[in-house]
This record gives sequence, structure tokens and C-alpha cells, in this order.
Amino acid sequence: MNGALSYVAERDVVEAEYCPEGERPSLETCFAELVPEAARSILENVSQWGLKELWLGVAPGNHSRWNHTKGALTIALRWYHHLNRHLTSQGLAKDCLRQLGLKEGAEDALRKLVLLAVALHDIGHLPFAHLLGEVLESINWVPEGKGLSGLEQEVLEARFKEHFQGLWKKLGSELSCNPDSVQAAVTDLISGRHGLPWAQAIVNSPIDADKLDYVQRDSEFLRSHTSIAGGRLPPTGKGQKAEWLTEFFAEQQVNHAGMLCLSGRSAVLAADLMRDRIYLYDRFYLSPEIRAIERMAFELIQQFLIRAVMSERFSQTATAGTSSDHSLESTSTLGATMEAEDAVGDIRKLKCRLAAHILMRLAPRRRTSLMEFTVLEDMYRMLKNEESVDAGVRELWQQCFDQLRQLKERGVSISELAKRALVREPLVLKRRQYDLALEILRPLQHVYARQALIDLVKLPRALGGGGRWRGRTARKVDEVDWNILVPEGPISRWGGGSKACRPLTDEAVRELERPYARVLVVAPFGSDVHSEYIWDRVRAALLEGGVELVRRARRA
Amino acid sequence: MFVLGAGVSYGVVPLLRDIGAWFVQQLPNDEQHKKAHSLAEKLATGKPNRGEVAELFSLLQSEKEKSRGIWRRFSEAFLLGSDPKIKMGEQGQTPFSGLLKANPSEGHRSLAGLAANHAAWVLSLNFDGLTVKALIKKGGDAAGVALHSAEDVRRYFSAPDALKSVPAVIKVRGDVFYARCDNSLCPAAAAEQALDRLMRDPPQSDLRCPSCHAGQLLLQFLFPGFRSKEEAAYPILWEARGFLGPRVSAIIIVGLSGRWDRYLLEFLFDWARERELPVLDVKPDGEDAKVIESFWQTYFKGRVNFHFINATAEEWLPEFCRAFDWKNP
Repeated sequence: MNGALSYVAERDVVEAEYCPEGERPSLETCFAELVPEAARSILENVSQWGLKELWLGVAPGNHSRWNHTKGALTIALRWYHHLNRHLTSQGLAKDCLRQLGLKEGAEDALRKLVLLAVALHDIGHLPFAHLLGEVLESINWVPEGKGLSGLEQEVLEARFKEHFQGLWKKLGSELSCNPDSVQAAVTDLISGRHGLPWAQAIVNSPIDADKLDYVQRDSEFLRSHTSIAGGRLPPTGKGQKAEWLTEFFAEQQVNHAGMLCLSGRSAVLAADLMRDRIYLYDRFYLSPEIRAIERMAFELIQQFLIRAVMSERFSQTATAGTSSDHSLESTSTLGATMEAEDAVGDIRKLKCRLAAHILMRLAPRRRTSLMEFTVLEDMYRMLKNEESVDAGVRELWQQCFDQLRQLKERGVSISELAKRALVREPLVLKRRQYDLALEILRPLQHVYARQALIDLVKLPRALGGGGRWRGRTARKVDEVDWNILVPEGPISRWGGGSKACRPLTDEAVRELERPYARVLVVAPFGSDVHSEYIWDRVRAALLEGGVELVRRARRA
Repeated sequence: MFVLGAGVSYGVVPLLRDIGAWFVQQLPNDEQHKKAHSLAEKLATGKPNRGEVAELFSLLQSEKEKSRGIWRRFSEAFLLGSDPKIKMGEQGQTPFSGLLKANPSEGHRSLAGLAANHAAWVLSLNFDGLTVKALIKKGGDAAGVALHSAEDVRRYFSAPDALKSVPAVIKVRGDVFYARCDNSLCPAAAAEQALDRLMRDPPQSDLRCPSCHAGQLLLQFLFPGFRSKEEAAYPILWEARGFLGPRVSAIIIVGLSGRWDRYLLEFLFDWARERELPVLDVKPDGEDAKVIESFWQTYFKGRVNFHFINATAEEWLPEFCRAFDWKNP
């Protein structure tokens, strides 16, 4: 950001539904000079779900990252105030600041850092949401991230550098510290690696403000537009969100070590949130119906990016015929970049950076109701002119795009299309065998590249977000950072009157885990005897390779 | 995070070689003690390996009555400064007045200042409890606590209602750490007591069991190589990492040779790699000075940022604390 910083008006930041009657004006005051306009313009142009809204036959409209960010910010502000009041009354606020290396009286600075991190938590997202990350991961183009995915980390850093330098300087002078330290603190909070547990719990943890908002928001959107996720979704009626939050905060406090303690009803509602989140992943975000459609989009995005990054010729010829807004002009291929920068080192990082750059270049600069679909359309337009590709594969691409366009134009419903394209039932395996299955399926996908698409996805862990870390010494450990305390016993026994006394670990929420991965065979031309043969081959290859398939109990 | 080795207490409590010299003098040089004597001689010269040290202390702590008499005298000399005294220092001439009477050094006091102001976490391999003693001397009663087990660590960080934040020293089971009552009828005979829980101010004139008050408390010397020591170390370390993971910005190892604790080095460097933390190794140049550096070069070079600082803990810690203005960071 060059020159003077401009901020979003306070009244445009608060999400009224999360505010109890009468509290809105005081919350608005707290947002003064906090959220930079640049954040809004980036987030308004990215939909909350990538292309999923379109698959449901609904324009994303207000279901954007910006509106989600406003919701998360309002929750974070109410949450911060609640905990800060508690810390001050217990005389622990001073210790918290010292642990961060901040002077006494810097409470306002801490508030700004926490809220800014929430405001910018999605700034590392590109069009297509998490699908893009999956695309790049499947071709091993994602460098190791520090808490975030490598792609998100790359984009976050690039955007921080491009748009927010002025912000770090301003905050640095307010806090009398180096602007780089401010940027580092915000980055750590976003990536779940910050050292103040209760603040980290608000920004990125298994129950953070982001998840509180998106579980509510997405449930509401699903309830109004589809019956796909069934009935078990949290209440989202008028006034209920604010009440839910008030109850959620009621039995929360911060202990002497800065840990967020969830007792009684607060713990019960946290458990509900985690349960609902897993439910949404299982029944909607990663449901077979949605994945069947996403796999077609996945294929187009992946094939486009491989060529746009790796092929000089593709970059030059593909631009012809695209709108001036969306072109590959001024983007660079891997070879050219390596030559220009005399690059050595992590080639994955370079590929990821180039793919992100291309996506940022293609992303719509003005708000459209279709958001990412226009980008997908342009990608396909560039791809279909690619003559060096096998005709059968090109036909498959065309079929994929035609199906997706029909869906967007509501010529077909998602359930009809999924029914047509999904071959038999999903194959379910244990999540720990995901990598093994991936290696087995990779060559099979090449063999059947003209007929079918194979999809492999794993359900997330119950404790999502936060800094998940892996110890590699004698005991292999895979855990989240312990920032939150919960009651003793299994999660189903947390109840009113229970006291926070142990860390929120994977073990504490074991009951919620759905430790599975699913394999789908998707036939864009429609399921038939040939695609059923491919399904059989996939199943046989998995079994031969040592993958243990999970049999689901048949319903009586 | 500071990781403290024996060098922090240099000149205040005896080193292993001083203990070895004491045993060389006290063990009869007869056929029955031949093995123990030769191992003690090695220890006194500072040349034994892990196995030899573990073997020596196993022999000395065996149930045999002859060894037990020597071990009892050693326990009293070590904890209470009874005669014959353990000698320590460069020339081996300074008599040790007993661990229970030992006072924190300038290094301990500086570190206690940092910990009391929430600017540092302390992980200690030392048996002397002098950092906690320095915290209490500085801040009065309940100004610092020692955490001896994974359960202690979990209970400390998970205490929901503590009204005051009190710094803790996380103890990775050190060389000498526990005492056990030798009266087989006493309930405390089954349980080992952490030494800091026996320390009283002013120090008692004899060593008594807190349960039966019999003067039959014996040290339990658990050196690396002892299964129970190795087994106890990992749970404490992992528990600490779960709570401290994101709160640590650097790992500063002070006065630790690294020669006896490969498992600890592996753990610390793995932590540093995962969090991108720099590792500093502070100790004076000498025989064991390059052990940690050589470990880093072999296994973690290029993945962890490592620096060796040639200084004693006594010089470096106060200087570092003066430079680090925690009141106005």
C-alpha cells in the first residue's frame, strides 16, 4: 500500500447479527482505523466456497470471504473484550503483555494485533478456495508451510509485502517497535504459531473466530439453499447467533499461564462447534456429490496450471482469445523465471509462486456475481486450443466443462449430475493410509485419463487449525499446540459444572474423529460398464497395494 | 528457553569428577571393591563412558550392606556436608558444605530475574534446585516451583484458578535427583522424594524422612543409562513441548556438555528445526566444548541455526540479563 492508508468505515465492519442489542455502537468504535481498505477489495472478490455455491445453483453473492471476515471480526472483538476484562480483573493482563515483550499499558496494541490478524486471516486465499491447494499438492508443487498450507503462506507473504507495508509501519510506530516484528506477530497469529495461547485461540485454533463464523454462516446458507447436508445443523435464526456467543463466552477465563479455559457450558458449546464442523466436512464440503463435481473442475485447473507454469509456448499462444482482463500476459513460466533469477533451491516453492502469480493475474478485478467461474471459463478457453494433447483427453476436458456450465446455468441439478457421474459407491479407507492410496492411484489415473477421474480425499481431524506440529525423535508425535484447557473425560461427558483442567488434545476429542479417506471414481461421460470396470480396477489395486478398505455397516 | 546443565552450578556444587575423587578415597581398595574402585578412578579423571558411570552407581547403590555404608556416608556428605567432605573446584580443595546449604550463584540469580518477569522458561538437568531457590530468595515464599514429572508440568499449565503467575523450572530428571527412605516399614520407602522438597531453610542438621522422620534417607542417583531416568525424561520433555511449543523464540543451552544426554540433544534440535528456532550453546572452551556442535554438524546442519558462545555461565548469564532489558523490551 503506497501513500496514505485508507480504512474501511467502522459501520461496515460490524456484523449486526453477532451483537447483542445496544452493543453495536461501542463495537463500531473499536474498529476505527483497523481494517485496511485493501483487505476488503481482495476479499470481496473471492467467494467463500470457491465454486461450490454455483454447484448448488446459487450465485455466491454475499457469501464472500469479506462478509465471512466481518463476521469473524465481530466475534473476535466480543471475545477479546470478554477475556481481557477477565484478565484485568484477575491482575494477569500485565503478565500477558510481558510474555509478548510488550510494555505495560499496551493492551490497545495487543487488541489491534489480534483483530488485524482476524481481519487478514483469509488474505492468503486465491480463487477456488481449498481446491486450488489440493490441485497443487497433487502435483507436489506446494512447499512446506509454517502452520498454513505452503500456498497460503506464499500468497499471504506476497500480499503483505504488496499491500500492507504502510500498515506495519504505522503500527510499528504506535508500538515503538520494528514494522517487521508487527508483521511477524500478525503472521504468527494467522498461522497458529503465536506464543500467547488465549489470543491464538481467538485467531487460529480448533474453535477460533473463523470457525465460529463459517460453521454458522455456511449452515445458514445451506439451510436456505439446499437439503444436501440433512438436518443436523446449528440454529442460526435471528438473535440466536448473539445469544449463542454470549453463552459460549460465559464460562471462559484465562489462567495464570495464558491458557484459555473452557468450563461448563462454554466447553459444551465448543464441543458442539467441533462436531458441527466435522459434520459439514463429511456431509457437505467433502461429500461424494460435491467431490464428484469438484473433481471435474480440479482436472481443468490442474491441466491449465501445469501448462501455464511449465510451457513457454502455451503461455504465448493461450492468451489469444481471452478477455483482456484475464490473460497470461506479463506472467512468466518456470524456465524463464529460473533463467532470469538464476534460481536455485526449492523448485516447489518457485512453481507454487508462479502458479499463485498466474491465479492472482487471472482473478477478477471487479466484483461479479459468478466470481471464480469466470476464471475457470478462461482457463478452459485457453486449454481447449492446446493441440498437442491427445484428442481423447481433450474430449474429456470438454465434457467436464460442459457439465459444469450446465450446472451453473441450472440445466441440471447437482444431485442429477452426481448421480450420473458417480460410479458405484465411494471406497472408504483409513485416513492413515491416504498417502499409500495416493501413490497407488496416481498411475491408474494416467491409464484411464480419457475415461474417468479418480478422486481421493481425507476427512479433516477433529482439531483443525492451530499450529499442528510433528516431532520426529524417538516418539513420533503429531499434535496441535496446547492453547486451550477443557474438562476431564471424553467430550460426550463435558457438561454444566465441569471444570477446565486438561489441554485440548487429539486424545480429548477422539470420539469426534472420522478418521477416513474416500476414493471416488467419476465418469464425466456418465457411469457405464467401462467406468464400472475402472472402479473394479481401482478397488483391486488398492487391495493389492495393502490398503484396508472399510466396510460400512448396511442399514437394517 | 534456557536449558541448564551442571556448568551453571560450577563452583557451587561438586561435579561428577569431584564425586569420583571422593569415592576413590572412601572405597576400600580390596578385592570386593576392586571394580567399583577402578570405575571411581575413571570418574575422577573425567574419562568414563555412559556405561561405566551407570555401572559404578549401580554397584554403589546395590543392596549389599558394605556398599550401603559407603553410600550412606556419601548421601550425608553430599546433602549435609558431613565429614568426610566432598572437595570441589579447580584444585579440588574447596570443601562442599552440602547441597541443602548451597546458595545460588550470580548466574542462577540472573536467570531467576528473567523467569520471574516471564521473559524466559527454564528447563534444568541439575539436581541442585538452585534456580528455584534463587526465585524464592528473590520473590519470597511460593515465588517459584520445580516441576519434576509430566503430571507436574500438566498440572502447572492446567491450573484453572491460580490468581498469580508463578515461574516454574521444569526438571528433566538429572544425575542425582531423588531420595528414598531406607526404613522398609515406612510408606515413603516405596516413593522417591524430589530433593527440593526436602530442602529447608535453615537447613536441618540431619537428613530425615518427611514421613517417618527416621534419619534413614538415602540418595537415589539416576545417571543417563539408567532405564528409569531415560523413561522419565521423554514424557516430561514432550509435555513441556506441548505447552511451550509456540512460546519459545530461542533455545539457549548453558553449561551442558551434551556428552551424557544424546536423547536430549536430539529432542532439542528437533524442536528447533520444527519451530525454526536458533540454538545457542554457552560453555567455556575445553574438552567437551564441541560435543553439541559436533552433534549439530552431524545431524542438523543446514536445518537449524546454531551458535557456540565461549563463556562460562557465571560470566555470560548476568551479562545477557543486563543486555536484555526486560522492564522495557
